[in-house]
Amino acid sequence: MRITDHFPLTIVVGTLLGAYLSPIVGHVRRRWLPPFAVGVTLLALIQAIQLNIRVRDCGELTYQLGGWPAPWGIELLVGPAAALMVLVLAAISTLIAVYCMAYIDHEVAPHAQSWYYAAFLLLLAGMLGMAVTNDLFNTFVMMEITTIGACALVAAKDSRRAAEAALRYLLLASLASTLILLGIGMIYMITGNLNLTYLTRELETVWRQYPRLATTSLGLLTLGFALKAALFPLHVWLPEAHSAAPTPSSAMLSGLVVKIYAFSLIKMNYVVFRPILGIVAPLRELLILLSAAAIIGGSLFALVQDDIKRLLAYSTVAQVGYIFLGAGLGTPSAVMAAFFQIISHSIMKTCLFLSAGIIAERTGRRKIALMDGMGRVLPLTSAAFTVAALSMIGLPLLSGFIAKWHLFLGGLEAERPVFIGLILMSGLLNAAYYLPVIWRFYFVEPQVCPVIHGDPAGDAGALGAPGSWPPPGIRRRILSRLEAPLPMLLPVVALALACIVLGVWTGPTIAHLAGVAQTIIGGPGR
Amino acid sequence: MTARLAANYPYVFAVVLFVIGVHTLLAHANLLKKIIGLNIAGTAVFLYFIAMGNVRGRLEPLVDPAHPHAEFVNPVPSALILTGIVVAVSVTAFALSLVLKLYRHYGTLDAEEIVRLRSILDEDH
Repeated sequence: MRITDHFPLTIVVGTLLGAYLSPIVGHVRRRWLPPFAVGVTLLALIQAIQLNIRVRDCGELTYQLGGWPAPWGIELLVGPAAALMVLVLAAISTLIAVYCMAYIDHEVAPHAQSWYYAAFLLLLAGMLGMAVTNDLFNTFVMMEITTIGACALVAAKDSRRAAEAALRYLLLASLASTLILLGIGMIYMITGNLNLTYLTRELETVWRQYPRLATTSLGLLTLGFALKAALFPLHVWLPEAHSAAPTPSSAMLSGLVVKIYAFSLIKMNYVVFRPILGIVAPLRELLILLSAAAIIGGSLFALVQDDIKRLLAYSTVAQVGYIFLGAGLGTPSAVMAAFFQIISHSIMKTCLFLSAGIIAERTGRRKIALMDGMGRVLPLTSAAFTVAALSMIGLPLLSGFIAKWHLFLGGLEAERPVFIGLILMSGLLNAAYYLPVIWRFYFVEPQVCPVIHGDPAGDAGALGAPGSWPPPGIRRRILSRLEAPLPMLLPVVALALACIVLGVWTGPTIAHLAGVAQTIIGGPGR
Repeated sequence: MTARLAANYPYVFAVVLFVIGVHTLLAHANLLKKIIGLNIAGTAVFLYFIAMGNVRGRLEPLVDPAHPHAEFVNPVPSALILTGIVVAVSVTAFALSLVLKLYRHYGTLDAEEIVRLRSILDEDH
């Protein structure tokens, strides 16, 4: 037995343990907290990479918890899709944890920080669990961990706006959980299995007997996940939650949390409920319609925002529409595009939120009207923001273009060219709200020049609290030349580069994702 | 139809309760009532699960050497719902703490009133 055999379990449990330990670490010494969180996420990232190598070489990996064989015990299953999801989750949250090292003091009160990290790691553990589990009830439990962690991350900012947004998020997400649990109950009632593999096998024979119960169950699961993933008319909680939260939380929520629910929705529709795929075509049709509404509606709402984080939040509503459009069309290219969009959007949106965070932290500005001349004051941050925003618009050579291109092809494969027009129009709309920001960055003379608060290296200035970065002794002189502390700048630049790399060097990614899409919509059984 | 509904009355109750809960959650402005609604909807689902595990005329799932061939009800849904209850309790606690925080800020539990107050407060800034 190789050590990688245990990684599906340890990647979740290790992160969970990190979550429980972080209040203790924070109690002993608050300074150790940020590096501790980075360590935990890094550990998850290493395991995620190993898992991907393992799955690529030896095929999917199953793990039986406590050694109880499949239909009775809980089974974890890492196929190519789950491995990919785990990698995205671990990689992005590692970068966010690095960003937190320098940023956390800005928006989270010192006494709340250990709990903030606890919620952060709890959220990551819940999402990883949702990705690897092969058990329906376990999915529910992990989903609840994710929900509570996500709401706690919003509530961590001690403001009335954040509390209000967190409560609304919590109530609607819990309603979605209740719907999903009801759906789980219905499908358990007719199949008698919670293990997804066995459930699918059983469903092949019993759905003819209970077609209504089976479709209602899938409908409830889809509705629940769509509510959690903020599909258009159900997105009401998202803009406030994502914009009132502290910036690392916004990045986490917009970049990852929404994606894991979309991933679960795809998994439920195409893998678990594959036997009834033929009779739920109206459901997929509804998904397509709503995603089209999301793509247009989200962008229209984004157009009228004056706060940069609210603009980014509404842009998430629109971009999630692409994932659902791909999932709804269901052709190989479309599902591939949905997966590409999951990766690409988590990179782009995290980059955008984190750079907006740097701007807010350095200059105290969040209104779009005050972004004039930012390109001169914060050149690297503005460049990263610009790259990610252009990628959102779908400029060639950037990752957003590749996602849109394959969605194009998916639209052609499904013989519905109307969606090509839709995607083109949405590209124009994206340009209409991202370009003015970029324009202000570089081409508008500022009336009042943005002032950088504090010294990036010392943090002894306006920011007050003694920052944890850099520890005394590191070459302060070089660091103080940077526009922002290195731990904040590094993830932003890395994510912007990732946008470019994914957009230019697409061959291997596309080939891999095509395989992933094939396992989702084509393969036997799973 | 009526006979089938009557025979499956626990499920009918569960669905009615669920609708009541969801309606309370979505239609009431009072934040506490919203949380109560969420709990009612959750309880309805728990009831659904428990009813599903029951098989009329069978024994509780305890192995008794005196009756080696006894047939049991399905204990799995009850076990699942134990977890569900724990989750519901923690979500409720979290929601209540947020409501408390909001009450300290606004001095009211009425969601519509909070929206009104917020627009006034936001204009001041």
